[in-house]
Amino acid sequence: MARFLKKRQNALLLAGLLFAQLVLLSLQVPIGDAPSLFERTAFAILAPVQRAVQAVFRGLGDLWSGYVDLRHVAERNQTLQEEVYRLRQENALLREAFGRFAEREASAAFLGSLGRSFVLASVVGLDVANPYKSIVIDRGSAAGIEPNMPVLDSLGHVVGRVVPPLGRGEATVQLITDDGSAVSVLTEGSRVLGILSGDGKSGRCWMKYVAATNDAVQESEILVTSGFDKIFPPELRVGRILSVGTDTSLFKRIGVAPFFDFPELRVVAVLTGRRAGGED
Amino acid sequence: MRRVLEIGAGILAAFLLLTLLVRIHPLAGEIFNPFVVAVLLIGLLRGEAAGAVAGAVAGLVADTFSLGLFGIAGIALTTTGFLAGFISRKINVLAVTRLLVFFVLLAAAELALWAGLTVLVFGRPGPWSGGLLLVQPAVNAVVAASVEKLIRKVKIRHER
Repeated sequence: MARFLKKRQNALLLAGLLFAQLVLLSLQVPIGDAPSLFERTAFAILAPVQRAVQAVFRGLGDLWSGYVDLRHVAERNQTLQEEVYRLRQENALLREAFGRFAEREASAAFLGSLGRSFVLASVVGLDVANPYKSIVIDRGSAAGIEPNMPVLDSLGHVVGRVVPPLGRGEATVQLITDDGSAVSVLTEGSRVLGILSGDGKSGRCWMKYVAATNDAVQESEILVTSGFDKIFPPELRVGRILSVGTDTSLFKRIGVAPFFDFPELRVVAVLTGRRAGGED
Repeated sequence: MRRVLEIGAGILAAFLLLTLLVRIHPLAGEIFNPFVVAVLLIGLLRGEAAGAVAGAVAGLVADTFSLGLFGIAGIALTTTGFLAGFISRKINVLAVTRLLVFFVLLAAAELALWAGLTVLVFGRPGPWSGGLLLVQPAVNAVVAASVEKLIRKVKIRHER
């Protein structure tokens, strides 16, 4: 018997590993979205590792860009002394920077005007297997974050909502570009109601369940949250309609480009809704 | 103990590389999967048992940061790691062309297994990123074969 086991130990190891993973898989299927204890534990262990890696890479990136910027500043100073037209160029650049600053001021005022408290968080991780499905942020239950809290970008555009697993210092955010997400939305002009869901692969979304006979929806219209889903407050900007088409089904096929910019997503605001006012 | 450290280091390196790549471009992880490369190399260089264990660990790490279910990537990678070690003991795959074909076939089998399990569990295919995933086996195989040759070269030089 011992000899048989020794001879077949590799095959038995494979069978054991596959069996364990099948059990793990089958344990998760009936409970759907709720994370298992194992999943929560693995997330709690690995999330700080990913956070540290991101911090190192970001630090190195900042160091490098700081060095490059310093060189650019020196070069620009020299050029400014030699050529007058450089001053005009810089003037134009300053005007653009001022415009951006004003925009940020407006976004801070907008977030404050929602009448809900919010927590600012940095994006520290991405879903490496499916980039447009979820992100990990560096604030968790210790900062008062709970599942289903809405997440906005720095300009107040809807990014997604907090979902389990939730750690003390990290939280997972399901993006609106995930094919499993659903947000109740309205067209801003024609007030047509629909459900926004991501396509999960290209960063685009679909507005679903708008009747094929409804001709009120137009291209370029802006979508805002309706508030009917009891997760997102009403009138938050979500995206812009790219295309309105029909197929053989009962509903229109409406393509939507979300407003939040995935590659630029570094800081987000989580609406905690605990008290009126600004960030805690 | 040394083997456990090697497996751990391989998986950690793959995890760090994938995190960096996805940060550079969100779709980089669709074209190249360092976990597959790590599992193929561990299976080839350290045998089927090490390959299977590395596959199981790599799969769990990959599934941790995905909103999917635990176990899908694990089963695909465990099987791939085991096959890499098992087949390479039966046939000689050390020549460059053979090694490349061997890795392409195993990486394609891993992708097919993952896709099949996704359909089986979710009842619909997983994200294919406009067919970008189909390039993945070839890219994984080229990287794995290059790293294998590099490791062998360093080993020979070290032995001298």
